[in-house]
Amino acid sequence: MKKVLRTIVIAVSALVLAIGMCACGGGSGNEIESRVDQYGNKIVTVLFHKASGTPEATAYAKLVQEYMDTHEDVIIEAEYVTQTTGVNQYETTLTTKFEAGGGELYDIITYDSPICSGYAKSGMLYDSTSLLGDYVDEFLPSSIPMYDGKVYGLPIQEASAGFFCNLKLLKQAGISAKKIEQYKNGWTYDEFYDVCAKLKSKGIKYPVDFQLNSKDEERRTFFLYPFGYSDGGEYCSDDGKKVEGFMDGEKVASGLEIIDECIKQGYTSKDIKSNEFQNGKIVGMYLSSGWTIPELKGEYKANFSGGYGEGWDILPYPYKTKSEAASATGSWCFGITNNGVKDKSAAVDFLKFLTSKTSAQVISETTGMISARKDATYSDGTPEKFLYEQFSATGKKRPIMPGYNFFSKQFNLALNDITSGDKGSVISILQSKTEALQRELDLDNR
Amino acid sequence: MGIISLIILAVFVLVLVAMIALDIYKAKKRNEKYHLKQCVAGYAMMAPAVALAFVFVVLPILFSLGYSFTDYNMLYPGDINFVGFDNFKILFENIAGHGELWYAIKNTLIFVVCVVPLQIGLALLLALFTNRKKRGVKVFKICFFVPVVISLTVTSFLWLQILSPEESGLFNSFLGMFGIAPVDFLGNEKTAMLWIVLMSAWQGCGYQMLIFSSGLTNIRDDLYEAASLDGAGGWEKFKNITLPGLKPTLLYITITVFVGACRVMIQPMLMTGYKMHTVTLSYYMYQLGYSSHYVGLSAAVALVMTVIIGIITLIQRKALKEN
Repeated sequence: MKKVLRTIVIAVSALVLAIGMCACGGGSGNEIESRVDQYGNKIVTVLFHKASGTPEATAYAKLVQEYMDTHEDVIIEAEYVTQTTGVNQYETTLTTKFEAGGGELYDIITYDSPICSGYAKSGMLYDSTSLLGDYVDEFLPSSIPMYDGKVYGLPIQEASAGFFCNLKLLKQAGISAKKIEQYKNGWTYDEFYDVCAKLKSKGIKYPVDFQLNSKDEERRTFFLYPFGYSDGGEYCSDDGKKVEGFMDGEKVASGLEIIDECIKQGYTSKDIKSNEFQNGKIVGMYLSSGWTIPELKGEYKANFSGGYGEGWDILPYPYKTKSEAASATGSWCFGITNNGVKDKSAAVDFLKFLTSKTSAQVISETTGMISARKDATYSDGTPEKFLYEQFSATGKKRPIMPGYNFFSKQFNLALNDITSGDKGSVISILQSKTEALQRELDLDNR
Repeated sequence: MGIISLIILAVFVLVLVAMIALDIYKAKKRNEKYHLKQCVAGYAMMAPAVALAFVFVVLPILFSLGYSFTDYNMLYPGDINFVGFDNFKILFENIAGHGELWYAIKNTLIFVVCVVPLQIGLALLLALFTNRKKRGVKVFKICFFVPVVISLTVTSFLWLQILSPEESGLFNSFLGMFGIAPVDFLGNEKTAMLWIVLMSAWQGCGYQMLIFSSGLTNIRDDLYEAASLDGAGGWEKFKNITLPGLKPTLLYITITVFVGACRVMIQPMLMTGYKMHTVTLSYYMYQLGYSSHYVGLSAAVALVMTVIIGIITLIQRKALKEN
């Protein structure tokens, strides 16, 4: 009895001590006026989401050096931490530094645009509305990361996706150049199925690759969420807190049925290996983004003789209801953080440099993505021009909600069920995932 | 962090003072002379190890325990509130509604039930094979042990290539020789976990083989000789000499393999990603804590998991000891 009593006392004491310690934990630490070194040089710390040595990180490093060369009293301390699937080292680094407070968190960070709401709501991002002022007008409004009417950064670039098509295979299937030109101005689900059917009948193994096999879950969300909008559906309420009655609606389901239908008809598969389209033989159309352009112009050029317009082309997202046509958009952004450093002037100046026309051009040329600046110009008849125009006309952001991570996870789980083919109808799958998502979002309603 | 550090230091000093006070009290009770100097020196020598264990073992456990009763979210580090048993209620609702946690528990159970006997059986077989006094056996021992020293990440990627759904995948190209169409081993809900089990047992059994080997060397040869004189066959010798002789080793291995199996995460994370048919408790916990930022809820899963593992380990210990 005495032993049991002693064990209970020890357990209760441990619990009280643990809760006490946890209650004292966290906090954003003390504020500091500004970040300067012993010689009075201003220091700006930046975290980039690419591993050092990659082409994109090299472009950032070049810009950092260029800025320091022209601003001798400023030191930019840049860190490069890669975005990885599985254990996300980048986000773990961010959240750990944010917890530490007292200037530990970088002055400028990069983040994927749908995460903006979550970071802004939590206070990690600094409300930069007044800091940036009119400068935000230089960017396309739909690209500016905003939450609750406030500006929380600037876009690094923009992303638009489309169906890259192998013109040789399409022509073999009897789809004329005139028809392709017509589809470039918009096409329906039925027209899309018709092209797939023709490709299939000509022995093309996979008429379309939606990148369903991608291990990068966010990439799958990015490519496939627009279908949910294409019949007028919405994933969530305006405040991003409610998904029941939205994501489980018939319109979202009818839009996403394109994936189910293509799987059932054998037009696509989750087993298509990466780069199969680029190999130019067994995939007719490939849903991808701007980063495929440099690949087709470079490494895989020989598989698409004639290049853009002759060997390959890009078709827009098909729609179910014309007025609701939607395409993927939203890329990575730069944001100033709420890290306890009061003087943000150096950070703002560097942010403006990073997003200037020349810097944006350097980054765009490296990544193959389109610019989010209004003054960006693209020549007629280029794939970049097509993506830029599609983005301007039909680009629709991923759902804006502080609990976006949950949305992406449940959306992917829904995709797994849809592609498995034996988990019921699209609407029933969406209903069960929406229910789970709503429970998760409710946890976040602080 | 300053307050936490102070609390930790204060607790640490308090424990040390309490230990010395207890020693003095005990010495007085027994009418013995208390040697304060030696006692302090003893504790001082123990201190580094105790401090490390305290910081890296006890503290994380205490923090995790505490967090499981809070709404701690990594994005709101300054806003941690005590929520009582709310987290546990959410978890039990998730299980009742056949949510992700339900699948995580189910998959972990399947993994544990399959991998523990398979890995131990395989390790024992390999140990018996490599323990024979024959030439070249050591080479096999090294070969069987190699997967243990390779990181789980590397072996997972290696198996991803072996099980690749493409025609060029090692297994599929072998099947192709018999005219069998490529199979998506890891994409198939029914077979994915099986392959994860096989890969994990293959990767881990080398370590247990070594422990079994050392256990086998402790069994006296004269027992086998006596059994041979009595006309015992190979199976009888194994059943009546080898197995009883390996009992303490078997108990240790069963518990460590079981605990390790309960914590499986890397293999499903790298081989299939977050899928309902392969998500495990640790993976779910990681997803909640790091991807969704819900440290409080994640800590509650950890606590539930610890309690379950603790209870099963105790049962195992008792059952194996009694037998």
